[in-house]
Amino acid sequence: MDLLNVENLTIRFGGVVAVNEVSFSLKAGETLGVIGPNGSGKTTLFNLLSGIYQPTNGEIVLAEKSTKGMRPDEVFHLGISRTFQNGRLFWNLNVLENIMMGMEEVRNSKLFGSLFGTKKEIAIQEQAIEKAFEIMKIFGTLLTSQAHKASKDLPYADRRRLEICRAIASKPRVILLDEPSAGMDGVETETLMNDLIKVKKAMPELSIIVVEHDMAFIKGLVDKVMVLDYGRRLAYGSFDAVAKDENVIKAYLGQGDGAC
Amino acid sequence: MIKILLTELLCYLLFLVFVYIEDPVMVTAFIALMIIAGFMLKKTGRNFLQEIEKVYAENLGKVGLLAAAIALTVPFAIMGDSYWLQILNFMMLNAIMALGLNFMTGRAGLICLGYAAFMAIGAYTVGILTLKAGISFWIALPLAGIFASLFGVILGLPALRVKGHYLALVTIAFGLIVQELLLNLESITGGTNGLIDISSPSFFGIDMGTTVNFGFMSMTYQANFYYLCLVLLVITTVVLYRFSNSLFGLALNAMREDQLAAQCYGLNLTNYKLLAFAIGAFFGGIAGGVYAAMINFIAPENFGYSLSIIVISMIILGGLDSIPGALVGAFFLTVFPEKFRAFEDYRVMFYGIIIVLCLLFMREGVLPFKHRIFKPKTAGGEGN
Repeated sequence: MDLLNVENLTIRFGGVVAVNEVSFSLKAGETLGVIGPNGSGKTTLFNLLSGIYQPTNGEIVLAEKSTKGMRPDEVFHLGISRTFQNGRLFWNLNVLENIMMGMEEVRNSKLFGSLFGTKKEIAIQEQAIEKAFEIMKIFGTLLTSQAHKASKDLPYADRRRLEICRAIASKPRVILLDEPSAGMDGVETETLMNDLIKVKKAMPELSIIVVEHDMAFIKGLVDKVMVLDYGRRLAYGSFDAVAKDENVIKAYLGQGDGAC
Repeated sequence: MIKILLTELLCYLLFLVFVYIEDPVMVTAFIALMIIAGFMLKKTGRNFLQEIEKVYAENLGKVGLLAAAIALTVPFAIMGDSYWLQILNFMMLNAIMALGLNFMTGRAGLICLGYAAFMAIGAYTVGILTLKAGISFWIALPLAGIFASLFGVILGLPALRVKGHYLALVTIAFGLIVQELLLNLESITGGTNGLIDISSPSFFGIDMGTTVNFGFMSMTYQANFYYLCLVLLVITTVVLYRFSNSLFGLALNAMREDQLAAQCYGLNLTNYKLLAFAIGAFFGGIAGGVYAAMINFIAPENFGYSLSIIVISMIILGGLDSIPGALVGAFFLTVFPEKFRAFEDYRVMFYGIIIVLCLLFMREGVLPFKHRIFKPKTAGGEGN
């Protein structure tokens, strides 16, 4: 049984079918790349997976539990966390707090405990801070040295790193990365690739779904690729097989306009 | 420690001078002098200011304790002047409301333009319970807070579905609905006539509506309420400070920053929004309850839209999400207008101007909330 099973996922907005009968599955520790041109339904697919939209049809099953009718916070508790395409950090919170917001402890703290500053509450806070530093260490000292800064004051690439840290802070089973390389140049993209490989090494059980425009970026990272076009699954399989797929070449890669 | 004491005593002294001068021209001159002194200090004494700021930020507990201790002496320092005691009582009730609203709007980002409604609910709860059911004020007061909280949840329920401008509109409507209900449920609330002759509470057999005798000095009844308000203000500050500086406060902050992202990171928005409304409203109810017992007379027009605006202008002046800011905002916007009683008609305009000026030139207010709740202990330190 695979960790994540998505079957015939469909969502309609009025007359537009943004995601049309998409199915795929993912084992623990696997990485899936989702590619496709702008407007092909990649981000909509993520919004479905994270519970922001409810599908018109089809089902998402994580570890044998259907996410049907769940709110985003319930989906998160089930073990799916995500990043956002435009970066949605908590801008006025510092780096440390941003990561703490990804942790379970923050939401389990009791009102009574915080009112009277009980020992238990203080211990929870200290543990959370320690854990946050552990997670930041995946990227060496890049984030730990800036832990006191407000996240809006971080350089662009560090924001992306912080977002990844926040997403893995809760030790999720699946993490969804929405265009992590958006707005980055070649060098930055390569660093990010290495960062993701570091994350995979640190958390071998973590499954990753990454959305990208650019096939080259995900080449070394993914185990499987799915190509979307107009909301439909155009191709699905290993990177090499998909790269050779005629439909894909015709619809997306082979046009030679270089726009994507 | 000694620095904190000295600066606080200096402010206290300036405040007393301000209280004692009567002539509006002198008052204007005094304020102008203070502003000039403030600018001079900012220009020449930057290091000094930063040092004071740091000492204050690191010893918030002591700062509060000393300030409360100094505040205990105020009735004696102004020789039991009943007029000024009453103003200070209003100031402290305003401060309690500003703190409550600040928790909702500053910390959790839920804009509320109908906060006066919670005060009204608290005031009428105390009024009705003590007048018609004969319940003791000391039981009615917490009930006033709890009722206000319940109404906070009732306001929160429709507000769950809207945010931003629409939330502001919903809260304005809520304030109007509560006021209309007070006007029209005549059999319970007395309609336009309001509730008259609400009895003053008695404290261990002493009627708080009578003069107090300290042995060497006797004071008007306002001194009783001065100490009651002071105790309640201290409790409010401590409770809201604790809530704000915890993981709960952090979660509310995250919700203010980005609701969708917070929800995608496991925050149950419904629970957190309702809690923020309930906690914020509770203190509005408490302030209203004390108000009813102190004035002995309440009517719907005391809790109109303009009161909501006054409270919100206090937290905008002080700085959203800043607890010291809310206190300072309440202080300035209650005490200063008293010296300009001659221009009473322009009062609400004055609050409007304050809001506009703050939003234009001083978005973060007088005392912005600079340091975060959780900081790394090692390297880096305070940062900005």
